[in-house]
Amino acid sequence: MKTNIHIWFIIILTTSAFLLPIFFIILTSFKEYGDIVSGVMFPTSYTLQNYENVLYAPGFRFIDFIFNSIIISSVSTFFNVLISFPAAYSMSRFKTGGDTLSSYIISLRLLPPIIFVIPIFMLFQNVGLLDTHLGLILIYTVFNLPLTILVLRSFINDIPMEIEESALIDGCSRLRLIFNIVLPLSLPGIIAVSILTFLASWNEYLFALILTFKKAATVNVAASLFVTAYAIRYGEIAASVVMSMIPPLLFIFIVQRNLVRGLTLGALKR
Amino acid sequence: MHTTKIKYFLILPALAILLFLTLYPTIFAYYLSLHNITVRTFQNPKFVGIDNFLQVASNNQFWYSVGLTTLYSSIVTPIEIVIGLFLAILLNREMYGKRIIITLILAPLAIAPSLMAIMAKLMFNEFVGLVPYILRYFGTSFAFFRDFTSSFSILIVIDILQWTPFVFIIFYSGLQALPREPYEAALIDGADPRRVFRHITLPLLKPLILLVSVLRVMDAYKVFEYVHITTGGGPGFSTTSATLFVYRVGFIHGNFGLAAATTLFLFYIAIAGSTIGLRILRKVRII
Repeated sequence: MKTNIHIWFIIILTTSAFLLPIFFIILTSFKEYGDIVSGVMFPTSYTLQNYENVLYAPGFRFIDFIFNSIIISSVSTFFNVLISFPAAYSMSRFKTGGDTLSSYIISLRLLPPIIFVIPIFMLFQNVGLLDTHLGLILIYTVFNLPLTILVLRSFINDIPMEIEESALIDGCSRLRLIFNIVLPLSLPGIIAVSILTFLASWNEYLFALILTFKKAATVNVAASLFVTAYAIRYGEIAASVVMSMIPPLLFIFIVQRNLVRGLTLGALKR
Repeated sequence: MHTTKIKYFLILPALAILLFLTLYPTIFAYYLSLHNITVRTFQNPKFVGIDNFLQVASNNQFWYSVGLTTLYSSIVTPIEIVIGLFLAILLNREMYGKRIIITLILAPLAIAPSLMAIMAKLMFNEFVGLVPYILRYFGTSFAFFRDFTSSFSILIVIDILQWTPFVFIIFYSGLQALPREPYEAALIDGADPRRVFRHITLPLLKPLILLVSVLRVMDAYKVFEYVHITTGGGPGFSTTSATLFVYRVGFIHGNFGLAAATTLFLFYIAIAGSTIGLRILRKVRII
């Protein structure tokens, strides 16, 4: 089939519809206050003032929230992969738990997280994990496990058994086999899964909103606090949104090829 | 180590954590729901039996929010599937610059739902928003967020903008992986494109359509960020989703016992939903 002008037109139109909010928020973040409130779409002058105001707002250290997000997302990603990789290997190679276990894991992915929020909040209050980095790290490690296990299992399923069989015949122990042969071979999968977990943790809102207040709040919660705290300072709100979405946007370009597996619980390969 | 031992040894940490994640909150939620625990009576909870459950069951607002959430996910899912499938078919051909377009379409997937909500709030804002600006340009005006219809429609628009790319990329990869033979046969027979779509593409994509439906319905059921940030559940109570309802009871009114009972109601609804979902997925051999 040849691409004709109509198809191009429709594709560009829909794509721009998806990108319109992003474009609008970036534009707004560079506008001067006067231009924002007077409703001008394309102002004559652009400014970095909004970014400056967000970064140096008194009593509101935006930079700290960015660091919180980076620490919480990356540490939980690390633990998540550390725990899920052996489990995925076991499920892939030994069919551990069979259908029951995989159904259980998939249903955990489907259940709404609000179910767990109240008891976890009370637990955290009792053990003093509220508003700590460790608290959110634990939550994100646990809540991303179903997805990572399923996706990693799908990646390990694709690694040919023969390599492992011949290594076992040569007298390689199972643990060495896993770390020296399977782990390097599933590295692309691990990278893909890490980025997906990182994105999910970075973008999570409900738990971050409830379990953190100030000290360990993530950048998304901080950006939404800006909406309430600075109700009409639209420029600052826009700037904080832009700063919070830069890391995930960069990541999606890297992970694009393996995104599909992550989105379909590993059911679909690309 | 022996093989049988090692397979359990490898899965043990993950399994222990997942079991803890499901068992502990469920048991604790039952304990909470049988007591009167508020921010004030936090230290000495009072046993109240099934009082909380009765309160939830007779709470019209709760059932309203469940109904609204159901309505919401049954509106967004078909729309996203139609647009996503349409886009996937359009892009499933040789064309210049396709990779860049796909990357751009995927961008909303990387953005946090909470940020999407903030953007929508600004987009529809009376004074600074793009949509009122365009309306002004055409000589009309409309105050968004003042009534149920416009607030609810905005929530649906945000969902569609954010999640159609998700539906698209799944269908697109599915289309790329389809066998070529049926299409070649149809081409030789001179079948017209509409019939090819109906009798070849659609049946082949059926498992994926079901997978996407299950994932989207269940995920749309969790909707919280959009509502919490853009409408706050308002005007009045009209756009409060089920998740926002629990959040309000637990963290705005501080009634943990009642919130836990609500949570358990939602838990049963969600379990029913995911059981049906799992059955569908198993039937089409996705899992």
